[in-house]
Amino acid sequence: MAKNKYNKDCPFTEEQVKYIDYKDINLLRKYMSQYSKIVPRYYTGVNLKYQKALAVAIKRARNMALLPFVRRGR
Amino acid sequence: MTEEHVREDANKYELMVIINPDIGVDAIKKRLDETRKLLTAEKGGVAGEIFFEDVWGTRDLAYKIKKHDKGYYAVFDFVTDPSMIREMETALGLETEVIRHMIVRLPGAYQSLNYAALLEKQAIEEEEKKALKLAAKNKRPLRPGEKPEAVRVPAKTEKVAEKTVEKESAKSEEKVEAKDEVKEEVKEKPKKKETTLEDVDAKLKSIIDNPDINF
Repeated sequence: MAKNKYNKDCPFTEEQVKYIDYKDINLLRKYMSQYSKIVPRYYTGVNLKYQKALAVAIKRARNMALLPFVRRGR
Repeated sequence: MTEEHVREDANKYELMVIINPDIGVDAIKKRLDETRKLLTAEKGGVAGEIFFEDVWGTRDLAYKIKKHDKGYYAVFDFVTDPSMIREMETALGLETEVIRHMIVRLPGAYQSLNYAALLEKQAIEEEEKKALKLAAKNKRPLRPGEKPEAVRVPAKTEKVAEKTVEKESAKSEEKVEAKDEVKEEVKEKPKKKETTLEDVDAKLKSIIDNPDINF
């Protein structure tokens, strides 16, 4: 059964993640759009608690130039 | 308050610094030593303590900072008195060789991560996923002959397990040997079955040869 975009499980809740690390760029990239914006949780299914933690991690990574603030589409 | 008491109460912090890579190897080493000194500085008879250190080395910045497009990254996990953090921040901020720095408070249960090991682990996990996907793909066209599928799936998971073991063993010096081993195994399997397996092998090799993944 394919799940539509409004019906997804939160991967962080499933694994009971305690801390989303800003250094884990590959993980953070999954929750960013192609223009490196943070993807809203109604697309990704992330729970509110984790979406907030995710946002903090992404912003930290951006400050340390691990992730871009903006990326222009080509 | 005794020293021990303070240590238990003290918070864990993580410092990430980006050092100007153009200043030369010696200067970078000096800078790292100085940051270590800064983090372990004493105050009121209690010294900070670095319990984990991870030097990433030079890597590309996601965007230019002060006209630099590369930076030398280093991560320090340390325990210190909270009152020290502000002093560290100002000291680092004044340092021209440090392009950027960030001190973050770590949760109590945090386990320090080696960045290279993390990348390696993720590469392996991706391989697993790809293998599973391929297995799923192969299942559909082969529905009439059910037996080969049942054999195939466990074979692949075993393969991945072998790989992980080898990669762990290969961490330091046996890198080259391990590569050969992987390739040998890889060669044995595609002979049995289709082109899709060869695709997996190509991906595997590209990941093993990937310069971004340091053992």
